[in-house]
Amino acid sequence: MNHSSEYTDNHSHDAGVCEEMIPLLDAYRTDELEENEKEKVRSHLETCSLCQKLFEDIQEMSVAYTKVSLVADKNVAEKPDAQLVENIMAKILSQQEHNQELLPFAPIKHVSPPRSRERSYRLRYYLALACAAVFITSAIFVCSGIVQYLNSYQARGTSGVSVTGTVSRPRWELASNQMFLREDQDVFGIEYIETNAHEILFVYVTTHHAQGSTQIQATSSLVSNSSNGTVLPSYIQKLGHLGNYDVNILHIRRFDRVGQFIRLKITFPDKDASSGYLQPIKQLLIDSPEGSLNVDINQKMIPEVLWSRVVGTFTYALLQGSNAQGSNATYIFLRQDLAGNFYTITKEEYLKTCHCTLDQQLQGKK
Amino acid sequence: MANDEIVLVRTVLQGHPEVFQTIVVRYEPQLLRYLTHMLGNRENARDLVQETFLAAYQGLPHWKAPQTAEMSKRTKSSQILAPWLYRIATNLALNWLKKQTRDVYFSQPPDKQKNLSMLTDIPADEIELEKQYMLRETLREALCTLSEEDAACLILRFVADETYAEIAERLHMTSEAVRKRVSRGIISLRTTYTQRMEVSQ
Repeated sequence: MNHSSEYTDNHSHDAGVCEEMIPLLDAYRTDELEENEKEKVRSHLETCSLCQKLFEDIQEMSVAYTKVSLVADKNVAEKPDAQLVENIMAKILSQQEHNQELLPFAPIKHVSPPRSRERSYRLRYYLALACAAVFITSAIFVCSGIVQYLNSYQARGTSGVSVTGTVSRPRWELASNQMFLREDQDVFGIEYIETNAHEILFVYVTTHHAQGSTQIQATSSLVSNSSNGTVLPSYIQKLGHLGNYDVNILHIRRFDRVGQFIRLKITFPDKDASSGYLQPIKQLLIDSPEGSLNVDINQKMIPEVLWSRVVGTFTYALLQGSNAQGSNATYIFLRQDLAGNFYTITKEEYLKTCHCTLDQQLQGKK
Repeated sequence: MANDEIVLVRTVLQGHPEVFQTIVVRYEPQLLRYLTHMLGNRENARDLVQETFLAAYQGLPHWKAPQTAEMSKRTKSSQILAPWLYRIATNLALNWLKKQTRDVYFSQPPDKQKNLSMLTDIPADEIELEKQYMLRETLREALCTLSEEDAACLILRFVADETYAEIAERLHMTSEAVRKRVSRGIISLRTTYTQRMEVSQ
């Protein structure tokens, strides 16, 4: 039987009222209506037997179907089904290889397939995304070069630091172990360095803090004779943040001095007492006016995902970064929620969740 | 700052299909739950989740981000791909349910016992089998008469037991629109429900 026709047949005089009331009945059942709507429904139900019957049927059906749902729900996992995700991505990626013309834009560069899909994402990748996001939304010109460099980085698979330039003799020397600094949960990593006629640019990533941002002071060892060096004028251009990390550009006013070290004093917001130092570059010769330094930093300096696993609704990941001295590896423990946000956690918290020791995991990796 | 899903989509379209994984990880659990509610069977739901994402990936170049003004009016949700993905999933599920009609009911009279275990994941001792079977069937029949949006609202409301506010948030509709759609679903469900009850008594 068709109930809308039933209404028009039997109760044509208040069909309009019923039509208005029917969508409210189910919400009335669960008390999701405003006071005035509730009152309207209550008084209508007292006078309209058809709506009264419908309301009773709704109550009966809701009980019946909620039972169906509860039973079905027990077997449904809340966390992402790793196997299913992997199947989907495998299909998409294989489809992609055969069907390049699917995309409206030609791929900028061929990215070599990751070694293992499970461990394929790197922090670097999210940084590239963050830069891309800012580039798209605010069209910061300087970003285009950075995006290209970050995108091309994986493809090149460089080891060590490469200096590109048209001149035969290097103008700058890089200290590859001076690109990453870590203090407890706080990290600071240089992603990319570029020089132009007036400035030295450091693209860097640092742990995001709600209260205040990481302070950086740039000094040159040779601009004056002071033993502490001279503070160089600088400012920070914020590119945005992704998950738990800020991506920014430090612009430093450049003064050419052969032999000078550029030194960065890094102060994390909640650790005013102690500051870390990095001395990433040294000037060997005076640049040509258009600048000669365009440097990607060795990926080894950036935390790399060694191991990750989904536990409950979170993904836990073990990342390896180099410490400032470049001797022993340092580890970073991360938790990623379903929205893709990263949180650093303590080693103890991490091991407790993953039920194994660090050694077991590193061996498992090999 | 653009919504991060818009950025994800752009990145995928610029030649980084691997970034699509972020979208898959984000939506897979809720779509699997939704489709399990709709089909009453986890294994088929898994297949359809896979098909949903493949279809979404194929359709990604044609996806249009909602206007910011329109979106902020309706929802604060950051999951702006949700309505589109649910529409794809619902469409696939409705086709599957309609195909079930042809395959199972017209080609051969079903062995009820066997058919039940195929259509539901419900342990035998939970509720009486016959009742469960009947409920699933009425639901399936009712869904087949509904539009994608009405079907989605009915499932989320009656089977997933969500509030109107939750459904409105998820599908980026107003609560009023959800109520209208659910009521259409209820009328349709009640028609098949009362018919079945009369037959079974």
